Amino acid sequence: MPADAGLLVRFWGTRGSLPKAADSAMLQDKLQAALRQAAGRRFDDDDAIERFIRDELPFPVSHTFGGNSPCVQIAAGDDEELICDMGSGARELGNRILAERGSPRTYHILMSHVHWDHIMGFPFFVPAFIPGNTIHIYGCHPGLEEAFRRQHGPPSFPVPFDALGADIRFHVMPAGETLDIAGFRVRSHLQLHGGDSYGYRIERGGKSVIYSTDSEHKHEDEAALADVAAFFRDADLVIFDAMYSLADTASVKEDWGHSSNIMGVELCHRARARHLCMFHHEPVNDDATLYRLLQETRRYEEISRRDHPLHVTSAYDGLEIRL
Amino acid sequence: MEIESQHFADTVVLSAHGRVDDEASEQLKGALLAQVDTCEAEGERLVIDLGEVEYISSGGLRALMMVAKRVHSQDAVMVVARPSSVVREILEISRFHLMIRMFDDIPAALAALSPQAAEAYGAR
Ligand SMILES: [Zn+2]
Ligand SMILES: [Zn+2]
Repeated sequence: MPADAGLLVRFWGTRGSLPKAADSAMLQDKLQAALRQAAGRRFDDDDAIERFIRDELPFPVSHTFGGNSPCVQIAAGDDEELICDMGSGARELGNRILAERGSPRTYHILMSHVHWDHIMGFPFFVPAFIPGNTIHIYGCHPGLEEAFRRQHGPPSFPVPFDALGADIRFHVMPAGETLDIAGFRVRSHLQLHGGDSYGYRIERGGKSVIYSTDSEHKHEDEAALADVAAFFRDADLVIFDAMYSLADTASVKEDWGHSSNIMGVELCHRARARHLCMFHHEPVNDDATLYRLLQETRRYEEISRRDHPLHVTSAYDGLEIRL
Repeated sequence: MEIESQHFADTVVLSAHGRVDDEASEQLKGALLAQVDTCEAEGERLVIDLGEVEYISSGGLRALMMVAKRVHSQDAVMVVARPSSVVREILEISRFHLMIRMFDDIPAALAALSPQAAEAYGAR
């Protein structure tokens, strides 16, 4: 894919705070719903079953939003890509890249912050174990390297950081500046979150993606909202922390460092962004709830729309968005 | 947007009229916060009547959220009455209705807050 062929955004982990495993109760609910809908139907072959699942079953029955914690891949062609965060989704991402492209290879990883849900996949990111690979890890936290080293230290993990085979280099970036990383223009933005987090505006070939997770937006702070809207300005895709409801962020979960679907729509409308992708899902929410939240958010977008429509999606493990 | 208030026994009904756009929401917020403080000081209850509000912008929604927050922190008593269907949708999607109770009409809101107020309203 040539550099101007656009960007491919692939979600490997979309859950916030803690990975969430699928359980039997959830599976049985889905089976029940699928069988109910299939009652009285006849399927002549596996293709017919596949078509039924794909075309007729509602999304929360045929899919799951998944349960891995944050990891997002932004690729420009086969060879250049950025990886945002090293949540538990990074395990599968690492395995996929190894299987498809092998070693040696250079990886570029951009870290929003170093809370555990955003680094926990790194000890299981197999490319880090393979000599010949180079892994660059970028972030704005001075304690970036220490956080990665600590989770490899005893008694938490059996392989010490220094025993990892890859050449791993940390780059602490000045907040608010624009840098060139692997052919992408990357600008960071300080966000309101316990211990700070950073959002990134990632641009290449005329396309722009905002990766903004673990970020609270205060209703009262008009200046900060205007700042964020400027950071999101005209973005093709905004990956947004929509963990809680607006009411929660204004009451019991105020100062917990996360935002809401409503705030996402408002900021994207202001910024004239094209696509809002809800992200960092609350582990308590099941697939039906997350899907209902998506529908409600689309409805709110429609009601509150100013002059141009905003496309709204909700991230799930495995989702791909082409820009 | 216009706001008028009426007293029924120990309860104030604050009625907003028109569109609550971002500009009007500042006005609404100011009026509501002042009223919440007064009601709390005087031990009165408050009904926000949205019957004549056809639309509420995100700024208006944020204003209502700030008022709801103040109500909770002060133990004041406030409910919302007569939201139009689109306003109700907005309040439900934001989960505002889990913080502040909503009623379909003024008598129901008053009855839930104060029997004297409901009686005074009926005797108008
Ligand atoms: Zn997180
Ligand atoms: Zn965090």
